[in-house]
Amino acid sequence: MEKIDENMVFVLNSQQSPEDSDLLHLEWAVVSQLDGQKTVRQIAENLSLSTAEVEEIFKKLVSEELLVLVDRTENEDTVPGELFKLVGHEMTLLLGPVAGIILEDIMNLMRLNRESIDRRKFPGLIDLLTNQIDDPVKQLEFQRNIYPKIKQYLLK
Amino acid sequence: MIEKYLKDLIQLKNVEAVAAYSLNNELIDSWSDPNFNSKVLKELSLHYFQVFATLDLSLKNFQEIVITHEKGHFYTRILPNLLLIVVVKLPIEISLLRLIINVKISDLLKSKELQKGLKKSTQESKDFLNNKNLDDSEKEYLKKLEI
Repeated sequence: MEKIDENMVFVLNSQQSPEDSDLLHLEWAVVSQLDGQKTVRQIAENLSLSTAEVEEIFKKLVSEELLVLVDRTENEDTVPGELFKLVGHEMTLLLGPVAGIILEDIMNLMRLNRESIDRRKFPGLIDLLTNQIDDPVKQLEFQRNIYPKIKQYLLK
Repeated sequence: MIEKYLKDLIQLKNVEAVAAYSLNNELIDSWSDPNFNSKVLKELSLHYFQVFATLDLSLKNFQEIVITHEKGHFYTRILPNLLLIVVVKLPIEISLLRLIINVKISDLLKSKELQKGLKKSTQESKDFLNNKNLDDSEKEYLKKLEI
C-alpha cells in the first residue's frame, strides 16, 4: 500500500499477532485504538499524533502485515458527483461565472475528486465555499438553498 | 423547542446533547442522549459565558468556539439572545454542525416558544456577556495579558 488515507479504517490481521513484532510504544497505542470503526484520522486525533506520524506508523504496521483494510462500500462514503454540479449551479447564481474557478480551486485545495466526493468532506467543502461569498446574507442564502438537496447524504 | 427546530442536529449519530441558554445563563431548553450527564451543561455554559465576555472585552468578535477533547468536541455558538451548546463525540464534522445550525437556527430564534422563554428568563436581568460582570481582579488580569 503506497498511501495511507486519513479516512481509511483498519482492523488487526487475525493471522498475525502484533506481539510477534517489535513494536514501539506509539505503535502499540495505535494498535489498541483499532476497532474497525475509527478512521486513521480519528486515531491520530485521539493520540494527538500529526498526519505524518500516524501515516508512518500505519505504513509500518501494514508493511508488517499486522493490519487489514476494512472494505467500506463506496456508496456509504461518497456523495454522487451530481451534487458537485448542483453546488456549482448555486454558486454561479450568487457569484456569476467566477464561481467555477473558485469551486475548482477549493476542490484542488481539498484534494477532492469531482466524480465522487467523500461524504465526510462535503460539509467542509460547503463551509469553504460559503467563506468565498462576501455578503453574509448571500452566504446564508447559499447554505439554505443547498442544504435540503444534500441533507439526505449528510445525515447518515 | 430544540427537538422541534433543531431536529436534524439531534438526529446526527454522535450528537450527545444540545442546550440553549439565555444571556443570563438560564437554561431555555435542552435535549440530551439518555446516557449523557446533563449537569455538565450548566458548568459548561458558565465557562463559555466567561470566555465570550473576555473575548468581547478585548474586542474580538468570536461567534463560535470549538473545544476538542479526547473523545469529542464542545461546540458553542453565541447568538443575539442565546448561547447554544452542542456536545458531540467523535467522529463528527464540525462544518456539518455549523451548516445545520446556520440553516435551522433562524426558525428557532423567531419561534414564539423561544421568545416566551427568553421573556421569562430576562425578567431578572443579568447579562453574562456584559463586561460589568468581570470583577476588578479579572479586568486587571486581562489588562496584563494584553489580549
